[in-house]
Amino acid sequence: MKKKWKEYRNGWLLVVPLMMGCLLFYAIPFGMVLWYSLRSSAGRSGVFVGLTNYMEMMKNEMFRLACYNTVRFLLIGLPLILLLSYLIALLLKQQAERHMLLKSVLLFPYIMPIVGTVLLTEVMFGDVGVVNRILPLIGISAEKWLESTAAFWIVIGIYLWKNSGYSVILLLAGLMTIPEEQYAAASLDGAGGLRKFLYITTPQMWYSVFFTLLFSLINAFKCFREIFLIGGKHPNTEVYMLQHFMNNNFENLNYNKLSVAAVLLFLSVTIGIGIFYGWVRRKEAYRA
Amino acid sequence: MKKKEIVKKIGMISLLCGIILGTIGCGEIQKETEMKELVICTDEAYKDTVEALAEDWQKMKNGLDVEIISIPQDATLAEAKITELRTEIMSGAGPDVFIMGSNINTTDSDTSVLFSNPEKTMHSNLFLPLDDYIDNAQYMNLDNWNQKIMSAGKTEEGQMTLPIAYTYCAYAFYTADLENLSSAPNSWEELVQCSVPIVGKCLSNGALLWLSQTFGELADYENETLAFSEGELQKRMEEALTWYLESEGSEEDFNAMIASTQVKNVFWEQVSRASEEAKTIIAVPNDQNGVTAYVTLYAAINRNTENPDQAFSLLDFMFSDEVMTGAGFATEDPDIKYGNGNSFSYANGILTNVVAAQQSLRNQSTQGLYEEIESSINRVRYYSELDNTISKMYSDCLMDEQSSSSTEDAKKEIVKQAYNNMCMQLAE
Repeated sequence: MKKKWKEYRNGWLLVVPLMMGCLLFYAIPFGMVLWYSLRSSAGRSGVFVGLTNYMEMMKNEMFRLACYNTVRFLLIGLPLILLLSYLIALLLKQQAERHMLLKSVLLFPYIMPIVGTVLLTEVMFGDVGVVNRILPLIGISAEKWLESTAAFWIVIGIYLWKNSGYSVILLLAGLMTIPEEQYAAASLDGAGGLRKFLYITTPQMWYSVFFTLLFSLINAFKCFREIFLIGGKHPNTEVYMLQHFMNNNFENLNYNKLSVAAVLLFLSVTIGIGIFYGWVRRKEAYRA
Repeated sequence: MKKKEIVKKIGMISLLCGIILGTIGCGEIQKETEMKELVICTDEAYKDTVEALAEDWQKMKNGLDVEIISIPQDATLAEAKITELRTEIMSGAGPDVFIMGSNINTTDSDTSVLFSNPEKTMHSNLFLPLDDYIDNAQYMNLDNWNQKIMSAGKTEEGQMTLPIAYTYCAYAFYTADLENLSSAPNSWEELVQCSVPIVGKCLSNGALLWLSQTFGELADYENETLAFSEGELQKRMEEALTWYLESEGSEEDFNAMIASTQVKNVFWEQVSRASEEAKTIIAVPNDQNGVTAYVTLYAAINRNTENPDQAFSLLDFMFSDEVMTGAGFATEDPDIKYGNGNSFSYANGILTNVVAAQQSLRNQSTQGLYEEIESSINRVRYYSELDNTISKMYSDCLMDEQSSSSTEDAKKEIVKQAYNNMCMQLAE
């Protein structure tokens, strides 16, 4: 026991400051949020109300709309970005040595400042944007794209354009760790591209896919910044996300709704990620 | 090597202990400071007045030390300050007393205010109910306060805010210029159908500012719904726009106005200074045969304050008749009067304290006109994002109308979006 403690001691001592920081700035505040979500208001004037706030939140029309839009955005955006990034990563893997610059170029949209992205969107889809100037030339009337139902698909487009590069880099890093000999051996055995992908690439890429999914999820929530700058506090109902709901309730000092929304979001994301991680772990264990 | 390791470990543990103790210590010091101080949050425009009154209160009542937090007028600085305050309030702390202005700002609807919708905030368990404190007030005489205006600060829980000043939109003319106008229009329908050119020209031009005031009710905050339908909003916009575009009269008609738009002390001073000829004041009516007044300055106490008695004692002093009229409380020294000369008399509106409000009315005729308008007030509320949304909607429709590619569908779409926006604001 003493020997084990001696082994891990330095590691723990190095990690403790970070853990203290996480505890002080994340865990404890989140615990307070959880506590306040069970009370009528923050501070000494609040009384314990149990799950009343949660039940009222479920009846809140705007919360349900925000949840629906957020889930829809994730269910469409995440698979699309994984698919697109995977395709690009597979193509890049073959061409990586010949086109070293491509990897850097793919990251340009990711590092572009948000204001630049928003300006570009306005230039393309604004009332007097490029799209509205071209469409009348082919007989289609101009539309207020950013204030219509098309806003959702524009936001999906922004998300894919901005974040695919980052996902490509993550997936490419995973692809590069697969030994070439395995592909060579498979070729000798007569395996085609699809079989190599299904039986060599995919089983070894689960962890990379998981981490790419995780970062894509984080980037999906970050998309709120662009939507906020384009559509304001109350954008078109198609792009009214959970962050809009939380941001507006913060401005309205409605702490109950804000804390309940934060807790529910945390639980949903944790459960979702947890299920997927468990599935990946089982896949890896099966493979081992 | 062993010595080095020991030194490293001692260093790390000391650092950890220092961080923990420092965090706990800061919290304790802050708590102690908070107990000994009353924190007042106000707009920069009222900072000097509040500071002077707070100082006099301290001397007179031997009150707590006062810290004034003012929200800057500069938009960027205000945003940072407001975010800081919101974070404090949300964590259960924040200022003890709020003395906040409330104004419609049609040109910049992104202006940050601490309470963007005070009526909604009144229903959010943020403010302390004041009924018990008011009943035991030492100086404040609620009988001298306009009860109609005071009702704007009430919810089912009680008096949550104290409206200090209010306004409404009105236009003052010489009666002779109003060619056969038998009586001032009492409702929105009468106003838009008024055949007197000068009325149409002058009033329709200001619809951007006061269109939301033509609605008797804007919202039901209990049920979180709007008090009118999209169709009604569409109709109101069309009527206002048509009235503006078709109003006869000339640019010279504007010179005939004695005073106009938001009524405050300056308005009544202009009316009083005008010649002795008969005057008519047309207040912008609402659709419930009355006038909608808006609270422009109000006070409230944070529900989480640790010093509710001291907080109300300060408000009791500030809103006494002596201080509101500027007369002040006499002291042993005849040259010193607490609260003398410092009041909210130049607030952006008419003072809710009737005694103080009467001081700005110079003569009997003005008094008569004032009482006539006051009696027609049948709705009182606070400026909110809903008012800004309606103003912006009207402004966009006006711009569309004046553009070469104007269509009815475009205007309908603008109204629809504004309506959805307001529904979202309420439902959140």
